[in-house]
Amino acid sequence: MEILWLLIPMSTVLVLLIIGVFGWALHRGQFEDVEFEGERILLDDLPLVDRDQVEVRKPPEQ
Amino acid sequence: MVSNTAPGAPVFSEKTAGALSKAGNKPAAAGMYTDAPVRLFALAAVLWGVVGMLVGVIIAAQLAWPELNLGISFLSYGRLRPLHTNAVIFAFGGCTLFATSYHVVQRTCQTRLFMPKLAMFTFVGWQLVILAAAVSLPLGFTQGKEYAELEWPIDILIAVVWVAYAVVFFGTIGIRKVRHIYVANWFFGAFILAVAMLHIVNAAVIPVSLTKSYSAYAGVQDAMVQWWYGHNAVGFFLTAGFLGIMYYYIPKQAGRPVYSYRLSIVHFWALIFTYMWAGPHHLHYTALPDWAQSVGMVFSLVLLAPSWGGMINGIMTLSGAWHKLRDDPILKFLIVSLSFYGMSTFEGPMMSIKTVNALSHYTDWTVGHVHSGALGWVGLISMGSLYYLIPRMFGRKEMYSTRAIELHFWVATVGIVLYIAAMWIAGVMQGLMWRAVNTDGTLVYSFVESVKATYPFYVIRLGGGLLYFSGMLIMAWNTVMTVRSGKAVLAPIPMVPAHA
Repeated sequence: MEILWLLIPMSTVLVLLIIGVFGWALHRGQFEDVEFEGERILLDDLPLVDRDQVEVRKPPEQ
Repeated sequence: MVSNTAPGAPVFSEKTAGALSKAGNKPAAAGMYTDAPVRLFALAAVLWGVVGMLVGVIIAAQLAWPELNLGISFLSYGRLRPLHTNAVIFAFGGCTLFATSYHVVQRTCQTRLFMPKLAMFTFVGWQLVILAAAVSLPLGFTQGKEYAELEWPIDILIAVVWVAYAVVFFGTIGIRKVRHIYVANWFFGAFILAVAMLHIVNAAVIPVSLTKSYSAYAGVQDAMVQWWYGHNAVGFFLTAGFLGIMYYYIPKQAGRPVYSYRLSIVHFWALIFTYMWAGPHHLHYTALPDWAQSVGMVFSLVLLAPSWGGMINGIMTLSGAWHKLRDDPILKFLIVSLSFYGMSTFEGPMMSIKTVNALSHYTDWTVGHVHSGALGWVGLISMGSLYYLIPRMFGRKEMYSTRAIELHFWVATVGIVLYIAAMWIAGVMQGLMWRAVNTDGTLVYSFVESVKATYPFYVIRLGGGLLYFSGMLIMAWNTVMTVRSGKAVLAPIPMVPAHA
């Protein structure tokens, strides 16, 4: 099983990298006020109108 | 492209509205999302879905009636089967992932794509990969590794496209206007990085000609690398990527934040820490050392916990608003996909237990398991997210026909149930027939007797596949009608709140 000499070091490096990214996320405030972050994606939606269902309100001519 | 079709509702500032009307026909205009690659990948996903599932139906029919290969080598099962898997996974699934990740990363980071031209290159490059696969696989050029059949020149093109994809995706994260990186992007990011690593390690070959190469690894070493790749392709391509889709499109379609954002973060880190070593369960009772098989089994069992955490988190997003499931067929797609995800992530760890695997391995049970994940989880969540995405990419609120979505949902669901039930019964039956011995130690059944007994289940499976495929045709029709009655619009990037 010489292949493990490749796969195990690679997995170890990967886990260390993952720990590094986790540390970055932790210290850069990625886990602060997390429940609000779940709601943020719902805040900035542009309402759309189907042209064949509702009349389009055109923005004023420039 | 027109810029005057955005409705008048003043949800974005005067400044962006001004930019909107002045933007003209330049898709890369500042203040506008880069939606051209999203649009193209979304439409390509529908097209390749139809093609990939059609090939699936053909080979399902060939299993029941082998004469259907018509004696033509290009149409033989052994060549069409990798064409089917590559088309549905990398063409249909891949294009869906490109489209949704480019869409989600822009909307959640509130910025346009980093290097839009490179994003267009990923589209062209990925279509070239798909076309090269569609030609080379029926011609019989293959590396003989499951889900990694494509020969080395195509593998190099995949690697180039993938690096470009990573540059665009992580570059967009880099220029984000919102400090927090939304959880869906973490899943997409892990998927992109892991697939790059898996592909490069497993595709290491020594070419002897343009169309033939030999693996850099030999024997059981090669098998270990192949299933380290193979199972992680399931884990990162078909799971992490689509979980990214789940964490954005379910909250958006339901109009509610994800049930627990905290749990979604735990889900992400738990999943990526534990996924990498489940692969050896594909090699139970082979030349792989016994302890390596057991390690694979233990990691597979551990995976049940994060998988179910994520599934519950997604489904509970509808908590208190279950009535939305009744009227909204897109939500039906998204939520039912999660129930199939839960089912197959329970079934998978069970099948990785060696004693269970002794019965299930090499039978059609495995095929049933894969398709409950592929048709149920990956397929349904792709279709649900595309039904959300496509109208919005063409200036509409919803698809041309909502009733067609509803019909598609039921046709597809019945198809899946027929398919996986037939394969479960066939698989357990085969396993029991193969291991049945007389008192004198001889086998009760010859192999061909088990093939004969499987015949009716192959026919039922074909029926399920046909239903699923016809659902995809309904989707293609609905997409064409939506695109014809809509127009590609430039979407303005909203002003970023002060605290971001």
